[in-house]
Amino acid sequence: MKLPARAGIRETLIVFRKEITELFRDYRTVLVSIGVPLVLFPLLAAILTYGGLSSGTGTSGETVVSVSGPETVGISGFLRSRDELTVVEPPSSGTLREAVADGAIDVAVVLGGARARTEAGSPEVAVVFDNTNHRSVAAGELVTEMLKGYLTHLTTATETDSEGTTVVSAPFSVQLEPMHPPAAGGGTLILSFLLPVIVLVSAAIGPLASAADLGAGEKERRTLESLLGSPARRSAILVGKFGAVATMGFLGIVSFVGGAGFAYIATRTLTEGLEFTMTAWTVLSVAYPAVLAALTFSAIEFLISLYARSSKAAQTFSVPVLILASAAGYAAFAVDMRSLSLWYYNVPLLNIGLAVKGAVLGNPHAAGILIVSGWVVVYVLAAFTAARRIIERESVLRSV
Amino acid sequence: MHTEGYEYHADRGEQLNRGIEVRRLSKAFSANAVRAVDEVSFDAAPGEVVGLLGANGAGKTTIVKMVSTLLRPTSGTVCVGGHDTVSDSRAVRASLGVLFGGDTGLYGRLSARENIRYFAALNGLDRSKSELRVRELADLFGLHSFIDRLVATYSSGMKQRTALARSVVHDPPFLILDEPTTALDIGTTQVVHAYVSRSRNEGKTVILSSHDTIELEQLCDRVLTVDDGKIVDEAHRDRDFGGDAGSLRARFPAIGSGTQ
Repeated sequence: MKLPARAGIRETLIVFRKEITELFRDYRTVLVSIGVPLVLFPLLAAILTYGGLSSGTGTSGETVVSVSGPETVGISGFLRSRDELTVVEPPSSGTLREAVADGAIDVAVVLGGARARTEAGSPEVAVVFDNTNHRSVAAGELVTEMLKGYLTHLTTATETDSEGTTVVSAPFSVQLEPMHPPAAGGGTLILSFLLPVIVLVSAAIGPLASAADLGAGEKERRTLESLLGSPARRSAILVGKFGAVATMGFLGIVSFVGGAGFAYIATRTLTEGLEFTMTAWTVLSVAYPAVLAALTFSAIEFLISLYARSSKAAQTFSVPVLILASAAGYAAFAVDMRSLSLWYYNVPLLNIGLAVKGAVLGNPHAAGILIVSGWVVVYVLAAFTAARRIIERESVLRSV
Repeated sequence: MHTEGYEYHADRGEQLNRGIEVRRLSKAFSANAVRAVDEVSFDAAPGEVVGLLGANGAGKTTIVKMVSTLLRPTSGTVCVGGHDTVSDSRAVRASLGVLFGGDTGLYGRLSARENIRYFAALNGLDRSKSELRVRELADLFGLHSFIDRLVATYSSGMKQRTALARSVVHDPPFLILDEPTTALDIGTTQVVHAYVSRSRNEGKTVILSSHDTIELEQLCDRVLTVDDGKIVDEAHRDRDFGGDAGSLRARFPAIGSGTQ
């Protein structure tokens, strides 16, 4: 006699193998699960490339600015007088760049007394901003525009050179100082916006067709009756089916990554482009939350499918899940990672988006990812427990 | 048939001696609903084919589904080979071959061979025994000409032959057939009938649900008439069929009319 656990694993593998075979013979499932994620990123990249999306996205709330260096033609006073800005003292510890990177301030304005003078002889005013953060980018643009306006207002003095030509002398010049190389910063910013949305949406789309097929679809075709009439353990049937759905979800993510890679290479050759350094660590740290996303959506959608009485109903019930996935992706974009509370990692789906965003920005939050992992285990176990209750009830066989 | 991984077949001899015992079986689909099956009791002995005759909605399929563990009784018990269908449902399922008519419940994107192999594996047969059994069943039910084509391309008859093969791949001692020949061609109907007769001769217990009186007369040792969820009559081959084709229909004109 064999051990029950071993027999259960054997049954699970039998169900899993059969489900995968059947799923790959259904071109619609393959198209939705793998084809759509594959073209999703290239499509968006094309829209962005040819549509000319700006990285300037605006800010919400007050823009926090620090002003340091010797006072130059009243700039400090001018900035303090602007309602849109909150001018704070430079940080007492750490560098200005660290303060911008941490989100303590959006922009650091460095007045040029101690800095090299420009060729025209006027002092240079540097606007330091984090070009991988949309809020800091927008704040940098805002402060620069204000300073240029102030400069225009001040430019009244004229001088005559040795040849008798009248020249205009500006009292200062404004220099934007991004903290990262401009191309790399723009690429990172755009990816930190796109990837959470696309990872969440493709993870939600990937298992959709297979989940609908293996739960409600089996009810419709009355094959579930035969399956539940066999001596196979119901838990083995559930795990085998869930494994097949999750596999399609993973393949969806792999397709998405493949499509993203293609789009990245293609857009670099098509345009002057925005660069993004894709290290192995970046790929891994994005792949991990992507796998968590695939597991989460596979579990939710399979549960929905088992509950629904037809595959059409299952797909209809899954629409809100897709909407939530998109919403969580966009919400992740709006969250400022620099001053993020760990509490955010407890918000369902948004937490996965934040884990992706942190990875793209090259700063994955270890504690946050641990919290997300814990939550995904909870989601999957809860879905499995509910699915187990459904499949144990005779009403699971009812279909429309 | 020797199988791997399941202990239920060890007591096959005992199962064959016990048959199927249905006691005061009732089913209501909700608390206040009319009972679809109401206090039904009967036995089906080894080597016996018991027919369930009734109009659509009489309660035949509900009885069959409770015997095959797909529905839980509201009250009463069913024992198959000595195993209770509620407390020992896996043992019951391992010893049953169930075939539903009309919709065959086959996987359309698999071939007949793959469908049969899948259920062989779920019933614990190892690969070599599964292959052997597939060949036997292909011979028995005439599957060779289409066995490797996808089921989605089959006619109704091909599907029902395949479904029968899948249902009995583990050579179960108990057969539950629910209207197995509905809308089938003569050739496939004969294949099903031949298998039922063969099963009886091998000492298996068969419950055959149908509203076709001629089919039941040909195949059954006893026919129980179900109406409104109750057994309202019982006819025996030796005593009531009289060897005269059509006599069962004459006995139950309202039920058998128009079916043949």
